[in-house]
Parts: sequence; structure tokens; C-alpha cells
Amino acid sequence: MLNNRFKQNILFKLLAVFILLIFLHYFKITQPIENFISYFFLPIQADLYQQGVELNNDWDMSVLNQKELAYQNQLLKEKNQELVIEQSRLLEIGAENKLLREQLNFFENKEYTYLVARVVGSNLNNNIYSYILDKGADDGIKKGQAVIFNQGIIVGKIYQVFPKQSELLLLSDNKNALAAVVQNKDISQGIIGGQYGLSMKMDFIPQNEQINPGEIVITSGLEDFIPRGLIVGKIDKVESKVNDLFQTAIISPAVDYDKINLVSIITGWKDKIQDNK
Amino acid sequence: MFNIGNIIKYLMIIFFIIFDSSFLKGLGYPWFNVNLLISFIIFLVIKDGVSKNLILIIFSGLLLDFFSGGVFGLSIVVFLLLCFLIDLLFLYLFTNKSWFSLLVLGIIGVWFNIFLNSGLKYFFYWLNMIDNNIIINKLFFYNLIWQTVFVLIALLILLFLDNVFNKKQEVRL
Repeated sequence: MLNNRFKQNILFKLLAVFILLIFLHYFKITQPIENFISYFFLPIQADLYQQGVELNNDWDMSVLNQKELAYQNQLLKEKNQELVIEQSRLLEIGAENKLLREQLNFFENKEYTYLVARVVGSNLNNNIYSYILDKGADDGIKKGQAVIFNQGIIVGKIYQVFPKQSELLLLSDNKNALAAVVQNKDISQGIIGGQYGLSMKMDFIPQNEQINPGEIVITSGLEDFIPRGLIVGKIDKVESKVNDLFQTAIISPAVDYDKINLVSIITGWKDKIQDNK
Repeated sequence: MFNIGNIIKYLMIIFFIIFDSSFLKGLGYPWFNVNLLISFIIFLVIKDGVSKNLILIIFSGLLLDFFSGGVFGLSIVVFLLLCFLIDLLFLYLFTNKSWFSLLVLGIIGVWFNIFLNSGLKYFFYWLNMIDNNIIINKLFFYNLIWQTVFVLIALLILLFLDNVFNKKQEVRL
């Protein structure tokens, strides 16, 4: 604890030192010492200050970068979503393009006239296996015309025609009937009928003709509007009873009917142009 | 006076002044409000009193005046008055010497330093001895708060370290 005498002593000394320092400074007597101290510490100060500034800038950049990155990330996510949608659309277009090229390629080698149609819906009636197409009577579509998919695979016939739309009845529908031949040595002929939307059955094949699973079935060309050579499917199974006149073949379609979205309707062919009747 | 402990104290004073005036200033807001020198001075006064650290206080003020470029002697006066105040409060007011009282002492020390500094600078500005006036605005108070926080943190660390490394020596009675 400071006693009074010590306090007075201290204060007196302090005041003396203080006044002396002021005097020495303002009369520049301590200037060499001050200059030396400044000169000595200046490089250290400059370097430390620079380090501080760089650290501050790096910190700001990292914070800014984080904010920038978060913002960019959000933008990229939104862009990514848009691109996914666009990609999906382009894939669809690409598939459609491929399909069209294949169909075009098919038609280039044939002498058919045709119309490309898009599947826009299906029949809501569970007993009918059909699709709605976006071409109708106004486009020259007629009942009974063959509808093909990809490279010459027949999927059905035009069942109903409306001004702007038409109904495609699939070969697997019970109401459909198609004259066809098997690509075997006997060129076995028969009639194809649908099996409740699941498969097809070829009836009235002569019992004495040899047909085997795996053989290709094509259209016979005996119907109006249906040219010969359109692929129907492949024989899955042969049902034959010894005492029957005819044997039956179970046909699996050459294409999955659930996957068709773009078809071609054959409106005629050059060697057999069909007139309006 | 020239024992190793004192030499270290003087070197630390020099280091804190250089560090505060260069590196911390380069860091920008709010880091330039870190005032290690004040924290150290307050710590020394709390620990050993004014009488044992008088020359050190004058040395600190003198060095700070060399580096500040303001009115010569201002820092010496402010430091001396600050240290006497801290000493008086510690001896006669905050006699329980608890951590809380030491922190309050730290706050008083920081605020006294800032307001006395600003007040004297305004006085010298009024006397046309300096060109830069003190502006009391929102930023002034933000800096006041930041400096208080940083000084208290530094003071706590110093007191804690002192408590850990000098267990036999308690805070002076």
C-alpha cells in the first residue's frame, strides 16, 4: 500500500520524467532515438501488416467464395433440373427420330405410301385393345388399313375412323383377324386372331404342314389394304391334335405393344394403289 | 529491474505494440480492435500493482507515442492515469478479487482508456494541435464493444495462465 510520502515522491518523479520527455521530444533531442526505433521496426511492421492484409483478403475470399459457391450451387441445381427435363425430352425426340429413320428406311426400300401417326391415347374399355392415333379421315385414313411399327412390323389395323383421329385395333384383340403365312418350306397359311390382348393365335393351318416354334409369321397380302410381307411375330408354340383337320400356332408379337408411340399407316403401294370405295 | 522476468515484460510490450499497430491493423474490421497492450498493462497492474510497473508503463506509453505520430506524451498520460485508476479500484473497491470483479475492472480499464484518449484528442483538436477530430457515431460504439470483448478475452487468458503457472502466488493482497 502506498503511503503518503511515497505517493508524493512517486508523483513528483513522474511529473519530472514526463516534462523531461516532452521537452526532449519537442526540442528534437530524442529524434535520433526515435528515428532509429522507426528505422529498426519499420520492415517488421511492414511485413506484419502485409501478412495481416493477405490473411484478411484470403478470409474474405473464402467467405465470399462460400457465399458465391452456395449461390452457384443453387443455380447449378436449378439448371441441372432443367437439363434433366431437356435431356428427357431430347431422348424422347432421339428415340422418335431413330424410329422415324428406321421406318423411313423401311419405306425407302418398298413402294408403299404411308402416313406417320402418333399414339395419343388408348381405349378406356378394358375389353378392347386399341390405341387412338392422331390421324383421321381428313388425312386420308380408311378403315382396314395396316398400321406398322418400326421396320415393317404390323401391329394392327384401323378399326374406326373419325375426322381427326382413328382407332388402331391391335392384333392381340379378339376382334381382329389377319390373313398370314408362316415362313416355312410349306408357306403355311392361316388366320391370326387376338387372345385377350396377351398374344395371338394362328388358326386353320393344315394339319399336314410342318410348322415349328421360332418360325416367322408374316402377312399374306390377301386382304385389302394389307400388303404381303409385313412381320406379325414368331411362333411360340404349336398345338396339334391328331384327329383335327387344322393345327394352331401361338404367336408372340414381334414388338411390345405397350411401347409403341409412333406408327405408320400404309395408305397404298405403287403396284396396287387402292381406290376409295 | 534487469532480471529476466522484466526483460521479458519489456520485450512483450514491444511485441504487442508492433503486433497491434501492424498485423492486427492489416486484418481489418473488427480485428483491429484487439488491444493486447492494454490487456497486458491491466494484467500487470492487477498482478503486481502500479509501483512495481511504473517504468514499464512509462516505457509503453513512450513507445506508443513514437509509433502513433499523434501528440507526444498523450499515451504516457493516458496509461499512467489508467494504471492508477485500476490500482485504486483494485485495492479499495474490488477487494474480493473474484474473477467477475477482475472482468469488471477490465471493462472499466478499456472504457477509461478509450474515452480519455478520445477526450484528450478532442481537446488537442480544439487547441488546433492536431487535424483529426474524434467522431462519435455508431462505428465508434461498435469499436468500443469489440475492443471491450477482445481485451476481456485476452485478460481472462492472461489471468488464467498466470493462475495455472503461478499457483503459489495468488493475486496480490
